[in-house]
Amino acid sequence: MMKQNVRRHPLWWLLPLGLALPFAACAAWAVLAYGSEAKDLMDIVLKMVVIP
Amino acid sequence: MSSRIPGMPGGAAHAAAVILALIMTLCLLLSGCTALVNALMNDTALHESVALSDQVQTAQKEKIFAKVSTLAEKYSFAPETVNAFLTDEALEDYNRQVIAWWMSLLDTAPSLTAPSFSTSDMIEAIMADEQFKENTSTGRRKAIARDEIAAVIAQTVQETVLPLRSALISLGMSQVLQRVNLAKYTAIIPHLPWIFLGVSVMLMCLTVLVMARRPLRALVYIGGSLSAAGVLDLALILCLRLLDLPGWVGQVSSMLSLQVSLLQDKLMPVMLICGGCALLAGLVLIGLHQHGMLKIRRSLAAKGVAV
Repeated sequence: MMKQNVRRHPLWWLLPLGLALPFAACAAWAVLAYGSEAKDLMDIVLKMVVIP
Repeated sequence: MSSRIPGMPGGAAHAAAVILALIMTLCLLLSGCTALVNALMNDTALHESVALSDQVQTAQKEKIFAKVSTLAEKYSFAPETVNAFLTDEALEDYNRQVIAWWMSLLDTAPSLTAPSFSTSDMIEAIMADEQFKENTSTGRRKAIARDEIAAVIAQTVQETVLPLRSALISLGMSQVLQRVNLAKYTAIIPHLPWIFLGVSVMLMCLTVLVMARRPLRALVYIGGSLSAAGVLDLALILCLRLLDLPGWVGQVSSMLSLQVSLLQDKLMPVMLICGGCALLAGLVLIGLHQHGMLKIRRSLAAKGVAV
């Protein structure tokens, strides 16, 4: 019996990346928008709370 | 000519499944994050495995003995007199006391003062030290032994075991406890990972319901969510590695940097395994979907239906 040539849909394999993209984009936006301020604040907290 | 397979879910079902998949991914991520927070807040064994590790104990003893040597030179006493009280067992016991205090800070009525290293026997031993007696006047022996030597050593021990300003922590916690009933919120933390996991399972069942016309389709969305959560977990691990937390903390304190590094080394493998398993499980489900859909298309093609 001959195998039928049927269309395959490989794009479904990219669904995980498609679902992860919004979260990665939100995280990237948060880091770009508030990253340097957060780092400065954490540096201050570190110097206040940690004993050298 | 449409090559759509008959009996498949429509666009609205797919849209609903995508939304469910996004929420599922978020719930899976939150389950992992809250499990991590729960381990950091409630797992005493984890903190003890870091604090009582050989590397940390060796680093602590090096700092403490260096301080003892400096004081011995300044106040003329034999370092062995003090070092006899700084045994491995004594330091381990003190580490455990500090861990117990640290873990109890979020309890209903915590003790806000960090435990101090006991020095009463050390003071007596210093006062009885022959070298010390020769070089210190009788009237000042007790004051120097207690305030200049034993107190400084106790403070050094506390600072190497807990390189944080405990007075500041106590002050901060007392202010927080006056305003917020922390125990009410911290009591729910151990349950959060399971709550989020339960919600994820519910969403999986909802996805199957939404795809009721062809339940095989639900596998791709459930698998996609699992894999997406796995990918994001692995990306988070990569970002934490690139952030180099121990290096950043090490700019202020080498002791804390060592502890953070060891904690990271204990938690990362677990995160890696969980992320890898989620990614793999998701890809397997997507593979099952692809295989199932291929079989359906082939059987339809064999009947002469164009797909």
